[in-house]
Amino acid sequence: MAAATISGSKRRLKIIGNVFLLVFVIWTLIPFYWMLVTSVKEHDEIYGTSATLWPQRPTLDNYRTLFFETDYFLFFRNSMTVALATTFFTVLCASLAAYAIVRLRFPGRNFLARGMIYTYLVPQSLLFIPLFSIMAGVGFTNSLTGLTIAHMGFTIPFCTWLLMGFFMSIPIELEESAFVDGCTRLGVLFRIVLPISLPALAVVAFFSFTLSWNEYLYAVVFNSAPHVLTIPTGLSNFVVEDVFFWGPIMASTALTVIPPLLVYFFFQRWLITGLTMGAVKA
Amino acid sequence: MPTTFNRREALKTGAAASAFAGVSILASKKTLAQRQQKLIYWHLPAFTPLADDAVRDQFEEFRKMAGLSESEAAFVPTANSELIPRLAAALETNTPPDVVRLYESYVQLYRKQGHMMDVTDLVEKMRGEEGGLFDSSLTAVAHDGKYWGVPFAINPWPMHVRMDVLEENGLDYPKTWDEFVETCLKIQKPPFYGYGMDLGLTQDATDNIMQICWCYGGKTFNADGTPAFDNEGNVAGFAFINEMYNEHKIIPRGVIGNGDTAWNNKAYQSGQVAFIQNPTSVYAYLSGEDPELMAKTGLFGVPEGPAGSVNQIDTWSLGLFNASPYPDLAKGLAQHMMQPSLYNEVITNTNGRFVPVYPDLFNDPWWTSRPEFGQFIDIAKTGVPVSYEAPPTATAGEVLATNVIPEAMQLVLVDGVDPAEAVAEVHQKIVAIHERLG
Repeated sequence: MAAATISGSKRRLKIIGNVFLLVFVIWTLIPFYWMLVTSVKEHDEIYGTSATLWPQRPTLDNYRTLFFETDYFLFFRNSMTVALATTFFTVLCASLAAYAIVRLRFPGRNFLARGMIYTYLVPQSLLFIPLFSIMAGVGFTNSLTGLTIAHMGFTIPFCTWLLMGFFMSIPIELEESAFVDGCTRLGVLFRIVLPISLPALAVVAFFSFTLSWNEYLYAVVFNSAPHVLTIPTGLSNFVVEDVFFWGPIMASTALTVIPPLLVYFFFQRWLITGLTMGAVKA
Repeated sequence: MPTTFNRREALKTGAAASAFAGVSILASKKTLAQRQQKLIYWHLPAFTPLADDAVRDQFEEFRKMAGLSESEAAFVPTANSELIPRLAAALETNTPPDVVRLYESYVQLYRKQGHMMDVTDLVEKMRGEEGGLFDSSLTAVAHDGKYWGVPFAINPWPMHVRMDVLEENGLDYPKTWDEFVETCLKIQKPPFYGYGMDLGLTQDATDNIMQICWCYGGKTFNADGTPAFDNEGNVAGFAFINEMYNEHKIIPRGVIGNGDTAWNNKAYQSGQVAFIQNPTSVYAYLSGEDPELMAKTGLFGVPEGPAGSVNQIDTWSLGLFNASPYPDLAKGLAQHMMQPSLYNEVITNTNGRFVPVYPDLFNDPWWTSRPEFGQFIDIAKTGVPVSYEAPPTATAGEVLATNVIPEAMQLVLVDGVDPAEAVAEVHQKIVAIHERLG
């Protein structure tokens, strides 16, 4: 009887939990759904007197406007270039930095580690003007290279911090064994530590890609020339003063979420593991 | 392998890193920040591709006339939302564009900071054109007898009206604000409301509120720019708005939570309200995207209050910057674009979004063939800026940007604060801003 009661209350808890999860899932997915259906609605329906959950006369006109009347493909290519470059260099630099801070002993190590985190906490809205001054001084405005470097300014500290936690959880005995066998420091990093750290590297790659992909303020300020605009800055052209052209905005947003989603799906095997592994110390 | 990173190793690595950084910078193709272009124009979209193309063509024409190669002149399309952060960074680093269209009080704000070029000679030439310039176009650019921006366009704030709804109900456009309320009560059937007034924490809300206050004799500043918000006209205006919202309920309830200046645009464009007060960005949008609704839309000055009908205008001006390394080219471009014949081509292609600064251009068939713009010339002549009775100032700009007035209005509407108390509180805040900014 007691066992039946416990089993019954567990089931009730499970049902309640599932209901909450379902509500949360719907809450999360509704904006994406609304974005997709709006992207295929005609103008009259978007600005109709009542909101329709399903397009009455689906159309691809908004996508046609996006592809043939704007430079969306150029914006997409620029965003992809910057995001991929940022991800590559972030993974490389953050790995080296995190390993050095965790494993090496040198003067200023703790100061460097803390300094990186504290400077990361300074909001972009305070940094963009002095950073623009530096970028303009070295001639990196209106360039994808400059924008990549600017993005690395916030992805590397964050990703270094992520990896530090993970590297601390790797038993040092593994590395010491490798040293005994004649491996160099860099060899240990690339042959032993990084392969074990694939989940963490997946997390780092995912975060740096999406942070760079969605970044707007630096892209607006540093790059004004049309050939180096990214998607966030390119999309601004669909808002003219106080008028929003919702159809093309939703169409471009619908396409823009695809790369981060693909990155997530590609890395999801490691992401969940990587997000939690660093929390567990050996 | 030792784990200690000793001083020798640190010095060796530091030297290597510094050498690498130095070589990279030297090897960079673009080294120091030398502006390559001799002429840079940041173009804000003019609402229609035809108008944008006309501006680009005029820029190209001037480029060729000035003997500049394509790489020496840059026409940079800039979205409205991008302008301020981009310009802020550019001004801080002394690399602004040569010419850009600026809204209202930004000319005075940047003048105060020492950025704006004295363009009195250009403006005087424009005033010498046949018919001269609307005086109202000069308020945003004049200071101490000189001009600090080139007037580009006047931006009236007419009432956009669903004429079909009025006609269905056998009604005319109301002459007074009291008649306005009666009209709204007759035509509205919620969720279709009479008045799409913006009462959120937005700049449009400040504009909508003050246009009613002015009709009751209110004002924000004296003519010399000193704060004057605590007056009976503003108290009466606040009280009237409170009646419209809470007693007559002709304004949608949810507007209080709005933080978006496009709210009333969307409300009108989706056919949810009969009246909105807004620049003709709405009308220009309808002309391209919803001609059916455009055909049903009338444009009128605001109804009269006890102090008459006081309409708002604001102005756009071409700003030229002191940091421009080639000021003659900047002035040349502005002068070229403001020649009446070329300028008219841009203005008429904006589909009513902008009113010309030259009164004589109202004789163009584009305007005379459109009776819905019949009141615009009067509005352009007599309209006042949101900083009324003062010209646009840095203080007025901050009052607008910080939503001081809508915040107080919301206290009246939601918390039942007495209008006189709310107005007095706003006045104190404006005084504090004025003391800080002058």
